[in-house]
Amino acid sequence: MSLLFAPLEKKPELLANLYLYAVLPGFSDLLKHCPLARAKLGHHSFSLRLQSGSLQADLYFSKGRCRFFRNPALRPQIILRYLSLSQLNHQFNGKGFALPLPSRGATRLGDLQAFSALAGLLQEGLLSSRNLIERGLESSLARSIHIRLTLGCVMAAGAELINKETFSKNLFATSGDWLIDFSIASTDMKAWLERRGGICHWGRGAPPRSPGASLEFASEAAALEALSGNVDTLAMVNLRTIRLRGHTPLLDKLEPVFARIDPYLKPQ
Amino acid sequence: MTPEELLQKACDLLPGGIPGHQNPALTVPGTFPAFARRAEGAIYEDIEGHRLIDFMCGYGPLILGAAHPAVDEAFTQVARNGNCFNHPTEWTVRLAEKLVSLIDFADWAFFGKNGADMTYWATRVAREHTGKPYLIKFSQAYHGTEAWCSDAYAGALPEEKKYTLICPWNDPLALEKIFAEKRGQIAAVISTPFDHPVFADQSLPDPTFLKTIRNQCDQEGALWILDDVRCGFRHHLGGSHRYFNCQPDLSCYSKALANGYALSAAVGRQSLKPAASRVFATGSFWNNPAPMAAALKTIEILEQTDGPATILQKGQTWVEAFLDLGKKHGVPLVYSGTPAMPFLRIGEPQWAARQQDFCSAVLREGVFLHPHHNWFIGLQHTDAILEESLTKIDRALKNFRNA
Ligand SMILES: Cc1ncc(COP(=O)(O)O)c(C=O)c1O
Repeated sequence: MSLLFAPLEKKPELLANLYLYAVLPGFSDLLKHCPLARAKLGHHSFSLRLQSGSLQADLYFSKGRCRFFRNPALRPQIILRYLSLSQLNHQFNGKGFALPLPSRGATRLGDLQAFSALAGLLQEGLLSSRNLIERGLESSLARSIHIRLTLGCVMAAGAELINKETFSKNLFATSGDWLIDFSIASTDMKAWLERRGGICHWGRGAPPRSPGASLEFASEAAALEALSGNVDTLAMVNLRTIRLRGHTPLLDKLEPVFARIDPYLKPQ
Repeated sequence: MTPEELLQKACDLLPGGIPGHQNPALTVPGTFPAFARRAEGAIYEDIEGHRLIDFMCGYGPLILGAAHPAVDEAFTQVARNGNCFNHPTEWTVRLAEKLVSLIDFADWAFFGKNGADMTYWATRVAREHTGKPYLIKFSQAYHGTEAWCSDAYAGALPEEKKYTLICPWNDPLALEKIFAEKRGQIAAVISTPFDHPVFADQSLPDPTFLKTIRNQCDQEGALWILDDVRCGFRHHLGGSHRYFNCQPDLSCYSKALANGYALSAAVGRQSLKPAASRVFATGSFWNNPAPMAAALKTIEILEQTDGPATILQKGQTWVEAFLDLGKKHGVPLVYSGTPAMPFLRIGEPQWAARQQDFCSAVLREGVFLHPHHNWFIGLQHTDAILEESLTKIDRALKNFRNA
C-alpha cells in the first residue's frame, strides 16, 4: 500500500524501536545460518548493549552464536551509548556508521571490530542476497539467509508497529486477541505474530497456540517475491504460491502494516 | 484451455486474478471453483463441469434462480427493441411506480446499476437535505467499496473517511454518544436491516436498538438510510424494514431486484425529493430498459408466489434439518442470520479454518456453501433440491467428523 493514507510517523523513538527490536534480533539468525558471520565472530566472546535514553537492547556473542535480549538484566561488557535517538537511527540508516565511543568496554577493540563487521553483514543480508553472494556465499544459501532475516525482521517490525505506530495500532484496536503463523513450505522457516492482552509479540518456529490464521509460502522464491513487496498478492494466493487458511481478514489487515516496514527501514 | 491455464492467464492479465468478492482467495483457493460455466435454477456448473447446488445465488441476486425463463424472456423482449437510448423509456417510470406502490414510505424512486451507486448517492441526498456533514455507519457493515464506507486504505485519502463515524452494531448507548458528540452535525445513519458481516456470525437487530436509531435521527434532524441491497425482497416485498418493524427515510435496493440483471434503486419520502433532485448522479447504462423489465417480471413472480414468505419458510425448514444433521454427527453448529439469509458455522473457537474444511467437504459432495459469507435461499430451492442438498451435507458432515 502506498503511504498516501497514512504517511510514516516522523518520530525518532519509533524508528529506534524498529532498529533495536526488529533489526538487531537478526544477529541470532545471521550467526546461526551464515558461515561468513561465524567466521567474522571467530573466537570473540562479548556482551554488548546499544542504548539511547530509556531504550536499550543487549546482544551476547559467544561460541559462534548470538543471543538477543530486549529486557537486559546483567551489565554487559560493552555499552554503546548514543547521545540521541537520531544518532542511534543514523547508525542504522546509512547516514553514518561510526559506532559511538563506548561508555564501557572501550578497550575491547577486537570485539568492537567484530561487531562492526557483523553489523555490516546483517545490513547487507537484510538488503538482498547479492551482497552475500559477492562475499563468496553459495547462492541458494545466501538467498535463504536473506529470506530468513527478512521474515524475522518483518515479524518483529510488524509487532513494533502494531504496538507503537498510531496507524497500525488503530488498525488492530478492536480486533481482540489473535495469532497468525507464517511458514515457507519445505523449509524450517516458520514464525508467528500474536496479539494478546493488547500487546503484539512475535517469535520464530512453531506457534505457541493454535493460530487463528496461517500463511504458507509455497517456496522460498514465493516468499522472496511476496516479502519484497509490490507484487500482486491476490494473484499469488489464487495460484497457491501463497496459501492462506483461517481468519484471513487478519492477514488483510497486516498487509498495510507490513508494507510500511521497508519505507521505515530502508537506508535513505 | 484447462481450468489451471485459465486461472494462470487471469492472474497474468487481471489485477488480483479474479476481481473483487468473486476472487477464490476469499473462499478456499484450490478447492473452491475459480470460474463458472453455466447455471440453471439452483444448479451451478463450474468450469470443470462439477454440478453444484448453489446457496450463494451470485452473492444474492438470483432470488428466482439462474436463467429464469420468464425473467429472461421479459429482458430479451425489451432488449430486442434496443437496450440503450438517448432517453429513458416508459420502463423506468413503470418500475418507479411499482416500487412506490410496494414500499410504504416511498414517494419516489431513483435507479442505478450497483448497490454502491445507491448507497453513496443516498448519503449525498441526506447531506443535501440536512445540510450536515457526518454519517454514522455500523462497524462491520458493507455498503460498497468506496472509501467513505470501506475498511480498505489502498489509494484512499484520510479525508474520504473523515466524515464517516463508526458505531458498534446493536449498541444504542454508543449511538447516542456519537449523536451527542456531534450534535447538530449528523446527516444520516446508514444501516443494513440486520448485521451480516463476513467471517463472523450474523446479528439481528434488537428492537430497542432500531427504536434508538429512529428516535435519535428524529431528535437530531438526521435521516435513516436503510441499505436493503442484500436483504431486499427476501424478507418482505415492501422492504426489509417491514420484516424488522422499523421505519427508514431512504432505502437502497439492488441484488435481487432484477434476478441477476444489473439494476439498483433508491426510494424515499416526498420531503426528500427536492434534495434528491439536486444530487446529480447518472450513468450511461442507468436507464437501460431491459433490466427494468426483468425487475418488473421478478417482482410480479414474487408477488404471485408470496415469494419472501415462501423463501423464509423454505429457509426455516432447511436450517432446522441442517442443525439436526449436525447433532446426528456430533458436529456443533452455530446458526445466525435469518432463514432467508442463513449462515451456519462450526461451533468451535478459532472456527474459520475448520469452517473452510467443512465447506470444502460440502463442496466435494456438490453443494456450494461459502465458508465465511451468509448464504441465500431463493424460490429456485425447491423441496427436492433442498432435500438433495441435505443428503449431500449429511455425507459431508460424516466425512468431516471422521477426517
Ligand atoms: C449490504 C450491501 N450494500 C451494498 C452493496 C454494494 O453493492 P454492489 O456490489 O452492487 O455495489 C452490497 C454488496 O454486496 C451489500 O451487500
